[in-house]
Amino acid sequence: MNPWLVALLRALLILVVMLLNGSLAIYMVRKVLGHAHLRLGPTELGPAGIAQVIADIVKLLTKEDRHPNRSDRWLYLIAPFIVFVPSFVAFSFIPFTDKLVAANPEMSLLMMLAFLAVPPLGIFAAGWSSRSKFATIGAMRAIGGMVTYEIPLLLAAIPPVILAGSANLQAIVLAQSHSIWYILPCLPSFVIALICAQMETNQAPFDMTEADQELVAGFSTEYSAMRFGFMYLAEFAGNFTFAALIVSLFLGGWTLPGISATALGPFAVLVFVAKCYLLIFLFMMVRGTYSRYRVDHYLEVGWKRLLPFSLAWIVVFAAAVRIIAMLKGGA
Amino acid sequence: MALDKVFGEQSIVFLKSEQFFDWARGRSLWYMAFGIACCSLEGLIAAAGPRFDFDRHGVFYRGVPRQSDVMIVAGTVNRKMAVIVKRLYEMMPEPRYVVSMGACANAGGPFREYPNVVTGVDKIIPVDIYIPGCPPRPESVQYAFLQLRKKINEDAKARFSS
Amino acid sequence: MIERARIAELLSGASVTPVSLEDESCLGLVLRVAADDLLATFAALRDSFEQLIDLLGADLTPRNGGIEVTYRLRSLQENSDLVVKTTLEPGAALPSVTGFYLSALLPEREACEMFGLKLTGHPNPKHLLLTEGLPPMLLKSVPLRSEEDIQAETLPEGDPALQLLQEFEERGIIPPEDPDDPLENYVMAEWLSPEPPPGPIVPRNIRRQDDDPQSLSTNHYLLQIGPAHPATHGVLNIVAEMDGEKIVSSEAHVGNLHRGIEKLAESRRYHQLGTLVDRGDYVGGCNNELAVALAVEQLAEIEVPDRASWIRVLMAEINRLASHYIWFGPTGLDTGAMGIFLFCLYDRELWLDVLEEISGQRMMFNYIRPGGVVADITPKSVQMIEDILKIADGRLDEHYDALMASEIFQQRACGVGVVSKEDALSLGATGFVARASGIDWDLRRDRPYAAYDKMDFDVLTADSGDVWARMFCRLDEMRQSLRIVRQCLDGMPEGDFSAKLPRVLRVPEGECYVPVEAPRGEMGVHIYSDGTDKPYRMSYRPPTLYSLMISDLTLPGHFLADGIVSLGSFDFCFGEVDR
Repeated sequence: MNPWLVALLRALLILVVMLLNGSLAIYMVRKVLGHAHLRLGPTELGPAGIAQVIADIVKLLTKEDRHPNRSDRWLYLIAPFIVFVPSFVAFSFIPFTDKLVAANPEMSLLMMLAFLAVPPLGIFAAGWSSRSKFATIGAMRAIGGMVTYEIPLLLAAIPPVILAGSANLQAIVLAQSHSIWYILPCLPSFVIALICAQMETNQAPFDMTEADQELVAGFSTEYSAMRFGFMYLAEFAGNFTFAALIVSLFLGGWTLPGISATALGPFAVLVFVAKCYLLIFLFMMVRGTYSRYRVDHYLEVGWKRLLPFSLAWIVVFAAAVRIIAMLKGGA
Repeated sequence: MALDKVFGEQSIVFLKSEQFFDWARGRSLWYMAFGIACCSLEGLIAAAGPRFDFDRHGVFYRGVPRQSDVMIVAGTVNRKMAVIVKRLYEMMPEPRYVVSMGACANAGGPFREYPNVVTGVDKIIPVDIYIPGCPPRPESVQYAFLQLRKKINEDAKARFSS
Repeated sequence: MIERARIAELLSGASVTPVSLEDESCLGLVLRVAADDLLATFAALRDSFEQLIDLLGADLTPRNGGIEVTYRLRSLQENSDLVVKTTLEPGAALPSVTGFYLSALLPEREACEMFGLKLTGHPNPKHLLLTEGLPPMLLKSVPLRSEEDIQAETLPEGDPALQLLQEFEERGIIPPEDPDDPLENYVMAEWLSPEPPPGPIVPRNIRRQDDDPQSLSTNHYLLQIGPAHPATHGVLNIVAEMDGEKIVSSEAHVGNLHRGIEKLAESRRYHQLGTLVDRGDYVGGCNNELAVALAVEQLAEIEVPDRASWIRVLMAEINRLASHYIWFGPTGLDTGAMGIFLFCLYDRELWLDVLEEISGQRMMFNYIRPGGVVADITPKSVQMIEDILKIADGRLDEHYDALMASEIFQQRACGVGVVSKEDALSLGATGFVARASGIDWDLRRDRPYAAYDKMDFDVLTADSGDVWARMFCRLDEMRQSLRIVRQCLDGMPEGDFSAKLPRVLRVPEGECYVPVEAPRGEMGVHIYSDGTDKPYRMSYRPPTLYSLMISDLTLPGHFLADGIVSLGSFDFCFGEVDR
């Protein structure tokens, strides 16, 4: 078979899965937040209101797409894709099962993290090119936040890499199935990764770039119709990507303790998705509960707390791993 | 959509797709969180609240005119505000709908004799649905949204039958 | 009490000869001075009276050919008021007293535009409420519109902001702001009027640079917050000069909801005033009705049955609770906490059910009228209140845990929007704003009206004056309201719910001011009656107009995010600010 065709089919499949996940996450956020807030969320369309998302997306697709006269036109038009495409690429590194992974390069973890760092640039481009002040403030916050929270996230991913001896997500998952889930030895890293994921997906208490009450809608203030829909969708697909990253690194990916990969068979993918959605549920409950940090506190949390703490933790962790290895080697 | 250019304005593909789009439009009405006066408590805040929960019908609020479909004019519009109401309406992308809520937005209400008050928001922008009452109960606003949905769908049907 | 003799002494010390200094039955001690002596009088009185509570004008040209301006001064320590009145020729100049009392900043502007007076010595003597082109509306010679006028109403064609832009382009000036942003242009129109307003608080030039050569050089820019901003709680429009995320200076623009409640009141009968003031502070309507009813009863010397007074207290407190819920939740929402907002809405609906059962309406009750109340409370409503009282205290604790116990919220609320005691006094703060800044003053306790003298409740004050203090004080107010509601149910006396009144109530000639402790502070009604069935002039003291001045002064120096939280914590109600 033509390798290009295979790649194209894979990409299409990933796109479909990603869009489905994005829509499902949007539906979920409305339901979860609804119930958390003593409401019901959408109920009318389809079973338990699940078709609501279809109506929303079709409506957004058919709305008038306008842009401000004085905007930086080309940047304004492509910014949603700068947000969307890297999320899409990062999505393709997710190992759903031992076979079901769209792209499995040697350094898939690093590549995934690298692509996940790009969407904030798209957010910046969107806010900046709108030439609206609220959007510009949101854009500036996105850049500040990106620098602040990429580093702790990267550092949080190091202990599992040390344990597994590989920067390949699939290898990390497999290593966990042979020993224990890395959440146990690397609990602090897990917590740091959760916080960073909450921030990277722009959810309260870190939703600096949107901050409804301060910035109206932040970077997307001037966006309408499908361009807004794309950013909205990418944001929620990002939810799943981050959840998948954390599940693969710390929660054993598609494996379950005590059950071999062959025994799980086709259910492995369900296990994986279930774990991811549990994490997303956690993200959403936090989002619906807490107040937002002020922008300087938010940078402070990143630079003064998370960064020194994760650095210190890595030193301690690496030393501990080395010592244990020496003791074992000595015995 | 360019379907009308490809298939022609009377073609079944275009009309059917328009009907489908109108179905979606009628079921996803995001209103602008923009309260002017007393009515906003009933029409915007209580509407989003736990008891009335318009989210069940797909009616949700957005803070920005660019992303909203419906503008609920909830309160008295005076001459200073009229400029802003009009510009906010112009900022909304098509298709857009206006619900005039309460006696003040319909006709000036108890304040109509005062020269600073605009007697009816329909003097500034086109209105789709009028809700009587001072203030209308959230249930009436809910009914207004259902009526608006009906109106949107009937427009599509009318085009289809012609 | 500050006695007449002491005031006379103070005045003679400043060599001011008063026109008269008398004790008028409904108004208390009234001092009349000539306009030329006004500033000297205030200089003499400044130290004895901490607060300028109310400032209003009245067009008395049919009576004595002048515009009467009334100042109400208050000494909190001695719990006594002094009314200072001066009469001006139509169109004459009113000397500003902002040098003595900062709380005159906005009311003076309003009085001058409404009565066509000139304002001298004021830092920012612009129009406040009225749209450009309208005559001084409260003059007796300016009529309301007739039905024909309304039918013939035409609105100015085109968009003034767009026209301005066009003019800009023709003159070759690049408009500094995004033309698609309506709010931006809206203010530009005001700025670039042919004659720039003298002495604006906000600098007209946007691109100002920091003067300090050592600091990082940044351009300042202008940010429009509102009137369509999600967090301005109505139609407030704030023009803020920003340095990055910091607010450097700001000015609030009001008048977007001005709809002539005071003017329309002159054409309504006394029974009908309730409908108008309800739409003033639309969140806490019962308290406004109560003020009007008390004022009319005082002027007409109507005896109110005991039961009516108790029902009034009950309704006022339930309404206070409903009103506080719609403030507590949104203040949480301003910091980004969605949950608490909806929890508060849920609780508010419970109380609205009770209000609906008793008065028939969820808002705009028109339930408390001169003479008593409209209908008796029903056994069902008593049962409903009992049911809510069982859970209400516990739910308040839950709300505290859900919002105020969170460390993030504490970071956002503590030390933000600080109002010092001195500022609160000189800016006329009343109600919870005053109490959160350490001023121990509650009209329900210090000047009891209705049946409040029979109630047992505490008044909590705090010293820090920040958002946290305001929230804490008001949360405690809600607890006290629950206590009062409980006492009302337990001790409700038997009897009539209303006095027998004629269908058309004629009130003897006179003048009175009645303040009540509304949810947002002191809400006062000042009525001039001329013996007919309609008031000659009704003035309404909006507590949040004064909080607005306070918030305006606290904004500079804050981050945008903090500014929003600080604004929210003052709980504006724009029906009331603009009237």
